[in-house]
Amino acid sequence: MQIDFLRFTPDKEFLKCLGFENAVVFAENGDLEGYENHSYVKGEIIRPENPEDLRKKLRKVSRKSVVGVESNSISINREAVTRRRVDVILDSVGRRIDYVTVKLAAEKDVVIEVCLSKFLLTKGARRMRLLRETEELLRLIKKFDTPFVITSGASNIYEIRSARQLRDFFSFLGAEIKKAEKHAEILFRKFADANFIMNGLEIEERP
Amino acid sequence: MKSMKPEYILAHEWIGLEVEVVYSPNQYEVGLKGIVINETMNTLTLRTEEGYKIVAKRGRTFKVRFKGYVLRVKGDLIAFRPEERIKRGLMLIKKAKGWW
Repeated sequence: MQIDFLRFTPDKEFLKCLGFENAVVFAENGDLEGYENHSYVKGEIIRPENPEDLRKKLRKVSRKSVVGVESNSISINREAVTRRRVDVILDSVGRRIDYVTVKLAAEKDVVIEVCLSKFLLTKGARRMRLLRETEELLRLIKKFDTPFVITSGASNIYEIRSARQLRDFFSFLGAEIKKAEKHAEILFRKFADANFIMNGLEIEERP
Repeated sequence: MKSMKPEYILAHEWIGLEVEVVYSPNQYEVGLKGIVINETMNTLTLRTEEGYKIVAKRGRTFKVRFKGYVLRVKGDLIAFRPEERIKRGLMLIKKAKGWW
């Protein structure tokens, strides 16, 4: 199952043309329009200023939506990984994530997002640095067997790319594509499928 | 009496439950159906119509009838000793629910 993580609500037919079956649509404060019409899973982005702010904002989030934290600070990302309400550490151009955070994410079962849009938004030396950093991150993810997803991370229609392009690009950087797809499916089904309890345990018939 | 949640199958006794093997790398095991009469760390013994069959837990998927539910359980989730089940099964449930 191909799942994309987006920051806007695209048309379902358009998404299917790109090879995705469904999507998790993130928005700040959860104010999304039209996600229910397309059967997308709703996500909430939290952009905290410091770890204290993160804890405060996490108290207000809905239990029915995927919670993603987007931050450029290592300390916030590390704090986010240890919080049980956080499902995914979202990717952005300036995201900084270290060895300890990746290791903790594997223990706490928090998904790390690796997106393509950050490469589209940068160029030159900055893009080169991002490529190097992503390669290093994927190496760490492989080492600790951390749950991760590869997504387009698009915030508008021009940043979205097909599933095949994502697979090709990230497999070149050393990502294990099958594992990424599996983790995306697990996260999606956790919120979208009432019969899914956990990975490896699901309900077939109810009394 | 409040009925038990289906996820507690991971912390529950399996002996006496009705089990069917729905996936196995060994094609002759697929479709084996019976009641669990014994359990070790890595195997389940089923009483089937053809006699007693010992099936490994790892790498198999079981369909099990539990408190009225029919559940699909991967054998890797129950691959520990029956006496450790409460401790380790509850740990798995807590981890999945985010309580851990």
